[in-house]
Amino acid sequence: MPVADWAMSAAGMVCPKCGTPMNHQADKLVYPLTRAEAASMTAAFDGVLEEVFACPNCGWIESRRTTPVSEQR
Amino acid sequence: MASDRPLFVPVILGTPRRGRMSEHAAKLLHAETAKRQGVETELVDVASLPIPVDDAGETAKDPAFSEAMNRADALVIVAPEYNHGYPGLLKHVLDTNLEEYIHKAAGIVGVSAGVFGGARVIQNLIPVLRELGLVSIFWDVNFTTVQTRFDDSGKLLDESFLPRIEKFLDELLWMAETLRYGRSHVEIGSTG
Repeated sequence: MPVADWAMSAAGMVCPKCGTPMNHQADKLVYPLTRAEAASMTAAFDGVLEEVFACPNCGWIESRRTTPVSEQR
Repeated sequence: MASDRPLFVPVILGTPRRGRMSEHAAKLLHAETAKRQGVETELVDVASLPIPVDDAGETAKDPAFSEAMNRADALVIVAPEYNHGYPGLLKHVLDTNLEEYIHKAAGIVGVSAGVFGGARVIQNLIPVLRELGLVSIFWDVNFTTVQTRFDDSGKLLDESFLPRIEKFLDELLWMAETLRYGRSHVEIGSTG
């Protein structure tokens, strides 16, 4: 699967503070926290991706991990 | 482009040492930031944060500090230079958060007893800010020979620093406003 396809996940996020749809503003490469996450690392992606969202209404920031199954080995 | 919501720009006093001269610098930056229209600020003292030093990351987060970083649009980091580096507690405190910082502006105020005004701590801190997702600006404030710049009460003795701080804040707030727009409206991967 091309990186771009899984780096931008389809699911959006709603602000937990005000209910506004959030903007997916960044993908950050972060350290793995679990063995499963570590197993998803590749030579090119030496970490796991965290999607970062910002609320255009109240400014709140949320994030979530993305560990694509296709990248696991 | 400006939104109705005021920019929030905390000032971080980055050292816990007794007798720290950086406290005067941090209070001055806090006062100057508070004068800006449409800007809210607070002084965050790393010495008063209840963050354990035997853990890191999510498990060491202080909820109030994390909430302040989440709300922040930009940071002013006041950092003294210790043996050419940054204070260990400042690094530890910054490391307790991550997503809260991403695509937010950061300006560094260097403090030293010598003539370089914290130039080396600024250079050493910039790579850390970059990895945390912060966007460092090209203006700094350098308090050279800081022991001569304030009296014992913290009053600034050399007013030539004020226009320098003005330029520093001009750039920081421009970057803060611009990045707020980007965070709110520009989706990653949607351009180019």
